[in-house]
Order: sequence, then C-alpha cells, then structure tokens
Amino acid sequence: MERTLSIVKPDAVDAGNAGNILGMIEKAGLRIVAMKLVHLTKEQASGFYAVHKKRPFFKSLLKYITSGPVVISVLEGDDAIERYRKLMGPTDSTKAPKSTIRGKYGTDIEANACHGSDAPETAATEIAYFFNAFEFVKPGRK
Amino acid sequence: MAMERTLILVKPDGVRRGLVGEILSRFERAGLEIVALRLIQADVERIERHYPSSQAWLESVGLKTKEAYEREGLDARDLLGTAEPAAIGCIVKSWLAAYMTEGPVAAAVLSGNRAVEQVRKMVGHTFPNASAPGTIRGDFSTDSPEIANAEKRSIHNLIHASGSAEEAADEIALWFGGEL
Repeated sequence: MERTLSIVKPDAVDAGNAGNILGMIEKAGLRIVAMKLVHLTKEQASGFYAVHKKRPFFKSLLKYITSGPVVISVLEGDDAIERYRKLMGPTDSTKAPKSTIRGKYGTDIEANACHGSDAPETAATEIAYFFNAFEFVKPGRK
Repeated sequence: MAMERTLILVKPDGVRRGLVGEILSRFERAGLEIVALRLIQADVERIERHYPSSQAWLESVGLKTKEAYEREGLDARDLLGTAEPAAIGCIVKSWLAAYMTEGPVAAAVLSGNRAVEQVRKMVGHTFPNASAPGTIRGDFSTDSPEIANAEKRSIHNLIHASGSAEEAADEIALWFGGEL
C-alpha cells in the first residue's frame, strides 16, 4: 500500500477537465484519501518546487502553476506512485499516448495537466507539504 | 446572467463507487465552474446541521414516509414503533445521519448562470427510480423508497444539491466556513 500526491494543474482545471481527470484516477482503482481545491500563492508554489529553483524554467513554472486553482489530492493503492505515473504519461504532453491523462488533456511540457510524485520519499514530502492529518479520510472504496 | 453559487455533496455511495470525477465532469461540461472542493469525513453533528430540524420539516418528512409505507401495505407502527409523523421524521433524520457519515463525501461549490436550478435539473428527482435518464441519479442508481423503507435506511441517491439560493448560502457556510 502506497500514497502519492496528485495535482490537477491550472490548465486542466481552467479547461473544465478536473472531473475527467479525477474520473480517470478513480477508474484506475486509485483511492482518493484527501482532496482540496487551492489557488496556490507564489510562496506556496516556490516551496513546493524548491528543487527546481535554479532551473531556467523556474520563473515560468511559478507563473503557470499560480495562474488558477488546482485540485490537490492524495491517492492510495498498491504501487500507487508507479501506477499514477503510468496513468499520467510522459512529462511532455506531445509525446504522451492518447490513453494517458497528458495525452488526453495536456498541451506541452509545461501545461501538462497533472503532477504526480516520482518516488516514495518525494511523495511523503509533498503530501506533508499540502495536507495535515485531519484532512485525510478513510478510503471510500474497497 | 444571474450568477449564482450552489453546494453539492457527492454522498458516501457516490464516493465509494468512484463517481466523484464523473459527477464533477458533468457540471464542468455544462459550463459551471468549481470554486471550492474538498473531501470530508462528516460527523453526525455536521449532518444534523445540514438538514433542517424544524417541527414542520420533521412532520412533513415523517408524513411522506408514513404514506410511502402505506402505499406498500406496510405499517409504520409495526416497523418503526410509531405512527406519529414528527417521530417518524426524527427516525428518518437519524437514517440520514447514518448514511451521510458512513464514508467520506466530496463537497463542492459550483458557480454559474442560475446554478441552483441548473444543478438540480442535472441531479434529477430525489428518488433514483423516478429520475430521468441523463440525470445523475437516473444514470447511476435504481434505488427506490420501498426498498429503502423496508431496509430502514435513507434512499441512496448519490448526490445532494442545494434547493434554493438561501439554502445554498447556508450550506456553503456550513461546509466551507471562512474559506469562501
């Protein structure tokens, strides 16, 4: 049993695809155990993307991720991190198969519809960054 | 445009069945905007506040339930221990509290032109068996009052939506407090 952090990014929320993406997650059998709609501030976003601080795309990334509300959730299931990464598809939406979230709803390498943790350590850090213990529910599904 | 806000709850049966995304996508497709969203495990106290508890409401709900029993040839006094509408109303409210706390709900505030009425139309009739195809309840449930009453439980109808602009304001305050 594993947990991973998912963000439905502003491009997907703005396009009215939050429900479609959550639907793909639920159909894939991943259980949503915490979820909220948030409009991130620059400070919150910089903290979340701290590892990218020195990268050339950082400024553009901050502008994009704070451009509108996002749906942040914690997904739970066996092998949840890898399963969610497969469901999202590759970072560059133009290279993502049509069966994936990014293939369906992403535009390019930045506006790529969703984020998912890449490893157990980052998942733990990212989940703790956005959620406290009181925000978790017992899974609604078996 | 008459911009309005309304509250929906994807109820525990909807969350358990993995219908949160499906239900939200229908509202997004209709052009409504999700302005708040949260997965919440409600406690009984919150549900008690969500549904009315005036004497008039309890009597009206109790009377409807009593009449539904009679239509099925069932005796409310035998099954529930009382035939008093207000007392039956209290029992029905306790069923609602049990149903709404049996698992998490997804609470959302939707915004758009005449959102209250629009959302109610898309949700369908209170009883899934009476809901038209194309509505959320009509497409995803066949539950009906005679089964629910015989099993002494609430109708499992997947979703709640505010009934009026005033109700929406109260419910948004209850579920999202100072967030909006």
